[in-house]
Amino acid sequence: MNIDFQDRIDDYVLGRMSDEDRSQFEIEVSQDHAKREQLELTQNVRKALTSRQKKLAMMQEFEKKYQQQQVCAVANEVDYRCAMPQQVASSSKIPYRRLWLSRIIGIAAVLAVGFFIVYTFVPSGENGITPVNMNVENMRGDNSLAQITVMINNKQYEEALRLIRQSELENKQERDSITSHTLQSEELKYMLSILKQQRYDLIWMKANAFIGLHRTDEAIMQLQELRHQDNPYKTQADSLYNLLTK
Amino acid sequence: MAEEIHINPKKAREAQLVEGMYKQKRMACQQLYDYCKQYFEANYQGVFIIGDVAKGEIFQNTFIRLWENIESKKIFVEDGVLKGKDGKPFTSLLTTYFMSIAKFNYLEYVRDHPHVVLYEDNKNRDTSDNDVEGNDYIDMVYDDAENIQLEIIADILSHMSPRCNEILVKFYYEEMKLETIMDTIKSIGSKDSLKTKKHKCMEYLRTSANNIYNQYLNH
Repeated sequence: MNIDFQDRIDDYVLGRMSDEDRSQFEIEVSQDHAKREQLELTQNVRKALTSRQKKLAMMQEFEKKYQQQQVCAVANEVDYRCAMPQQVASSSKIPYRRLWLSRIIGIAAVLAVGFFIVYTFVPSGENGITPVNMNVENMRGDNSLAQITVMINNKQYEEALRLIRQSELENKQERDSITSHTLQSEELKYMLSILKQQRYDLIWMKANAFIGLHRTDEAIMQLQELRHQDNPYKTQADSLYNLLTK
Repeated sequence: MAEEIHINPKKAREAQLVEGMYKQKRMACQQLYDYCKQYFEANYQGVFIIGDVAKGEIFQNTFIRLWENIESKKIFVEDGVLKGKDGKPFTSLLTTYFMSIAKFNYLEYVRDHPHVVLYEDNKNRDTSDNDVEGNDYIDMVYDDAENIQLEIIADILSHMSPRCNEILVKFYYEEMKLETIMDTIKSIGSKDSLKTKKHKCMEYLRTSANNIYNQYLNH
């Protein structure tokens, strides 16, 4: 390959030649096989590089979306963040509203439970305390919370704990996702407050599941968290804590 | 009596995605990417063993190659059927074809990075698993296409040295002048030195392209 002729090839390929020089160059190349080969190689290098760079840029975006979908698949959760971007673009309002409605109903139900919870401490087990009886009818709007309630009432404490842990993980992921947004809109702030509320519900349920399993120390730890933070279970948690630590 | 038509839903879906990519529909491109990535992640260990970084590189180059083959109509859809060499319908799935390109890229990678790859493990696989799907389309990687040099160069670019890649991308893709490239690559002392390096990269491309051509196509 002729290094000096390469300069002229580059000027030709990159459109840095005058029309007159171009014509002269084309005649010269057409009469010399080696020069023609050198030109063809350069043209192919440029074409291949351009094609590759464009594809790489697009693939970076594909990979980002692929990873996002994988996270959603792991969380086994279908909501607005896990939808395909095209779907979000076409119906961005609907999933948001549905999610909101579900959250609001869920939290309303959980708050109501706070009022309707009946303490039925009957002598049982090593400390004579059983979990509170939770009112299932008030657990509407959020399936997992209602399910956990039913499990605790049916004394399926291990299963309840498993579901609680799963819900806690999902709750954390959602909270992290919202807090990762640099711009915190009113909607996001409200959703975050609902998720924080749901977290307290789960801690309260967890404490009761531990009581059912006679894992008093772990129950006390959960109740301590509720006693020291501002939440709807603060008073009940404090009472229960006092009973357990007597 | 009317002829019974058997439709394989997976093949029909693959044809749809290939057609979508050919027509440059972004959603189809993303879906084909997801489809290939999922399959690759789940099955690459059946074809070769390799570390995470190399795996990413091989997948990337394989998908680019598939994409280019779709663009150049090396594989195409006709009457809803995916077709390849000589216009014959694919006998297996697109993923099989994809893995054959991946295997080819893997072999190239092994050649370039013999110290990185657990070659013994892979050598055993290569000889014992003659029927692994990676072998099915190996003869389709290079064929007598119209502009075979372009295909070969595209492959060489995918495993060229980072420095050569940087210089050529800046010069031919970003259309930077040599003086500007020198400002961005501080380790190159002079314009002449940069010009020589660029020339060596081009020379490497030319020689490699000729070698590959002779190895695969000069029957």
